Amino acid sequence: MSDPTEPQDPTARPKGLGPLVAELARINCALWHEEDAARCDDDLAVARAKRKIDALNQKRNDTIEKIDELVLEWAWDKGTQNG
Amino acid sequence: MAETVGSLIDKLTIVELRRWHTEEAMLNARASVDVRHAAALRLHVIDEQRQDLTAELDKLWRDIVAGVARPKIYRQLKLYNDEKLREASSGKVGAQDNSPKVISESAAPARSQPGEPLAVTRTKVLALRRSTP
Repeated sequence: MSDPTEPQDPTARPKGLGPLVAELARINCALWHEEDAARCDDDLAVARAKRKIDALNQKRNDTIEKIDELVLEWAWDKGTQNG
Repeated sequence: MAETVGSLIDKLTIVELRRWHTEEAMLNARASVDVRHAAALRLHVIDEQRQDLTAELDKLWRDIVAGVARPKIYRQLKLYNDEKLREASSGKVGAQDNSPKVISESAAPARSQPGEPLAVTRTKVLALRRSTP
């Protein structure tokens, strides 16, 4: 079974707003399940989940930034075109 | 507004997840009546949250399109992502030995109050221009 916390193709970088939003939703879905996994009595499993949560949170923040960069670029281009 | 298009979309995806799982509990025939009732009540709050976030995103988007609002990016300024900052902020090294380096193009020098962690842990610094990620 493939790791649900990893993208199918790590070299594929979503370009448009839609794919970025889909990517963000996927990451938050994976985070949800890791947060569930972290709530157990097995300390080792908690530690493993914590590492995955940290990595996913980083990806999540990166994706939020990519969305905001796209919006900024778009507004920038629009501002330039309109003088 | 402290929220960005990205942060609002992030919150919306989480609210959708919460909604999905709450609805799952509400419709679960094997769950107790109390649990299903509690889930139904929560669903109302979640729906209101979703409505608020949608309205806020809609307004922000309209304002950006109209040129009223300037889009923002809040760069990640987490101390624990920087080895030296993490050490300096946890009292492991003297502040004079490890002054925080500039970690964002428009980041103001981090000020730390005595007995307080570095200010940047709570204050995300706004970057107006796009920089290389």
